[in-house]
Amino acid sequence: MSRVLPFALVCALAALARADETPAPAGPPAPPPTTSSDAADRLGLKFTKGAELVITSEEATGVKNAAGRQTVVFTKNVKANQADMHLESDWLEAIYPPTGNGHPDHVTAKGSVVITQGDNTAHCAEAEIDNVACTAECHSQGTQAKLDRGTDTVIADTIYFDLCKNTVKAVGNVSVRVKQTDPNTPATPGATTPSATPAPAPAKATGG
Amino acid sequence: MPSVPRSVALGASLLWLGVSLGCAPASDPNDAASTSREAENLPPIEMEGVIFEGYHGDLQDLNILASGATVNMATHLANLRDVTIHFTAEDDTGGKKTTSKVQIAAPKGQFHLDGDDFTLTDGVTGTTEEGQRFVTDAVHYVGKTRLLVSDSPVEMHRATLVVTASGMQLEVPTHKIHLTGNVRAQAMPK
Repeated sequence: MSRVLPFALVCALAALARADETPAPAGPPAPPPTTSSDAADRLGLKFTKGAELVITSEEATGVKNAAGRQTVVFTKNVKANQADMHLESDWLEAIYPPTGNGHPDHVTAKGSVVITQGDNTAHCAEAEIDNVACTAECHSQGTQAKLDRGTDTVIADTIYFDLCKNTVKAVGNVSVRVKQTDPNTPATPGATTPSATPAPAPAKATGG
Repeated sequence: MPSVPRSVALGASLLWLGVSLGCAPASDPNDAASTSREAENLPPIEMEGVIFEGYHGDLQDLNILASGATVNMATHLANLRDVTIHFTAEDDTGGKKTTSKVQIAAPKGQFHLDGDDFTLTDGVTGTTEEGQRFVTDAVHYVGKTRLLVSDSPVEMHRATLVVTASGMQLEVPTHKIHLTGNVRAQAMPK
C-alpha cells in the first residue's frame, strides 16, 4: 500500500511538521467553495465574508459590555451557520459593531466547540473568531485542539486560521497524523475515507 | 357615568380614588367596610386622553399615555386603549432622572393601580435602550421587579439583524434582554 496524498496537503503537513510559526502557504486565495470537494481541497477554513449568518440556541442574553458594545450571549445547544461553515458549541458570545451592522465583528465560542467546513473539522474547548481581522483561533485547556482534514489530523495546543487567506498554523506540541489510503479504492471527491480502513502508524511531527 | 375632560391626569384621578377608597380612617372598621361596599357599587370611570406617572419608590419609572381608559374602582384596574408607555431611568452620574429609550405601545392595556403592574395586549411594539425594535403579542410588566416579560413569540430588529425567540424578559433598569426558547439570530447578507 502506498501513500496517496494531494500535493497541497503534503506541503501543508511538511510545513506543520517544521513546527515553525509561519502560516503554511496554501497558494493563491481560493474562491468560495460551491461543492464539498472544493472545500476538501482547502488547507483550513475559509470565511465567506458578508454571507448570511444564522445563530440558533435555546437561550440568549443581550447587553452592552463594559466597552459599550452590544453583545449577545447564546447558550444551550448553540449552532452558527455562515455559507458552508458551521459551528456548534455550548456557549457563544457575539459582539456587534456600534454602526448597527447585523454581523458581529467578534465571536467567542466555548464548550465542545466544533467548526466544520467541507471535510475540515476543528475541535477545541474555545474558539475566537475575529471577523474584522478575518482570523480564528482554536485552543483547548487540558486537551489539545484538533483539526481533521479528511482522513488526516493535526493536533496542537492552538490552531490559528486565516479565514481570508485560507491558511492554517498549528502552534505548541504539534502532532500530524496522516492516514494511508488504499490506492485500489477509487477516490470519491469530497468523501471521507471509511474509518473501517486499517489505520497505519501515523506520521507524527512534534514541535512548538 | 362621570364625564371627564380630555387630558385629565389619571394620576390625579387615582389620587382622588385613593382618598375615597383607600384613605378612610382605619380606626373604625365599620366605616372602612362601608367605604369598600360603596366602591364596589360605584360605576367604572371613563376617561379620555389619559396621562399617568408611575413611581418605584421615589423614582418615577413610568409614563403612560392612552387615548382612553375605563377605571374599575372595585378591582382597581384601568383598562387602557391605544396605550404608549415610556420608562424613565436614572443616569450614572448623580441619579439625575432621564428619559429612557425603552418604550412600548399596544392597542390595549390593563393597568393595576395598586402596584404599577400592567399588561399590554393585541400586538405590542417596542424599542429597547439600544434602539432595537421588537414585536410580540403581549407583555406583562411587574413593577416590583421592573421586569418586562413576554411569553409570546418575539421578533427583534437591529439594522440587518433579525432575532426571534419564544419569549423575552427585559430588565428595565439594566436594559438586559433575556430571550428564551428557539432563539434565532439572522444577520442578512451584506
